[in-house]
Amino acid sequence: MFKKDYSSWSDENLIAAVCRGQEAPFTEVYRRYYQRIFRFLTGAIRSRTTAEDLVQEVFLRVVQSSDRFDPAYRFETWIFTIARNLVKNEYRKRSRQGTTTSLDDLTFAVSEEQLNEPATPLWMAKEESLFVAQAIDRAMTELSPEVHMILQLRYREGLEVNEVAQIIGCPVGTVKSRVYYGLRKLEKMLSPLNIKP
Amino acid sequence: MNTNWDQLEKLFAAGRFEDLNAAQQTWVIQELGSAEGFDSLREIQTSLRVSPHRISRDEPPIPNPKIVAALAAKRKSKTTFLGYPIPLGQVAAIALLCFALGYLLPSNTANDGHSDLVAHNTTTIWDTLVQQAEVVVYDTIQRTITVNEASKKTPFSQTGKTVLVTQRKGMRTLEPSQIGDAALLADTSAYPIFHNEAPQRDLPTTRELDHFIQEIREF
Repeated sequence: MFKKDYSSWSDENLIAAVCRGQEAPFTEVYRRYYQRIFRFLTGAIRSRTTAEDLVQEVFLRVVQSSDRFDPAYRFETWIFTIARNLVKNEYRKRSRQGTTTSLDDLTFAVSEEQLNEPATPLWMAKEESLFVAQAIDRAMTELSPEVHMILQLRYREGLEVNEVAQIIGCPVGTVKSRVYYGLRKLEKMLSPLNIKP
Repeated sequence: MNTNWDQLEKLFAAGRFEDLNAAQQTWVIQELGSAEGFDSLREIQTSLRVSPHRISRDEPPIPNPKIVAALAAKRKSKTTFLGYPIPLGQVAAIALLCFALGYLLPSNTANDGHSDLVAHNTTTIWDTLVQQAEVVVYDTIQRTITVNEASKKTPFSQTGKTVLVTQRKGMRTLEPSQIGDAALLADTSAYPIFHNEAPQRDLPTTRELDHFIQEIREF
């Protein structure tokens, strides 16, 4: 009995098979997206443990809602939208518990005033000679979750601005301005450390 | 802002500050304030873009048992009939078998001509029954009307005019003098009843009518 190779299948075809409850296509989807969703959630939630739980929740919702997936749209956009909704729920939960403000309150955390402030010192030491990418990763944790998610979707996941807008649930113009402020904030944070990307 | 950002992204793709033309450099200075700012933003953007290559190649952990259960539930719901625990495959097989049986049985009898014979006999029996029923009904109605008309002293009968007694299509016209059993039975102008063609199937002949009336009386 030979094993079917799903690696060449498109996401949309895989999800159609998941719809019928097939395990092997789901495993392929899981393998493709686990790290990406995990990284996205870790950046937004800032908690590795919570992110691990939420990734499983994302895939559970993918299976449960696979009937409702519209093949006219990209699966990538759909799964990140599910992840983003879970982030929103998580922030709502934290807000109720009083541990943090809601995600919406953090939306415009990067403002003009902040850009003009002295850059936030990073905890890492220059002498450790961290890689530039690691420095950027750490600097990104200083951004608001919303801006972090937008930068991640736009650059690390390579999505178009309109797709990011669809996932985040805001106008395209808002996404563009947040990308700009996010990059300016990163620049401010990285320059005192003399980290030249 | 949006227009500026779109323009900036295009210039980031074009290259470093020194690669831009004079007009673009002037615009960048106006927007960002310095050439260094442009280069550093561009580099950050590039670094963010290339970072997916650092994705961990570790195998993801085993999916949560809830996910496996959800998949199993999906499988189950797709293999049951109308939510009942009957496998869909078996339902389809039974339906196919019923269809095949229903299709094959009549086609076998048709091959030896048996079904044609049955159909012909059925038609003949039916026609005979209908014709006999018509005769009985006709006779009953005719008698009733005849008796009624005979008991009436209408001006028409006195003047000798024709009395039209129409019970059903194709019935003949009776003269007042013809009213009564004897006159009716003696009439020879009635149409034959046992005929296959509809237009001729109106009234029975006297002999046939007599025969059936006799049979009915005996019955």
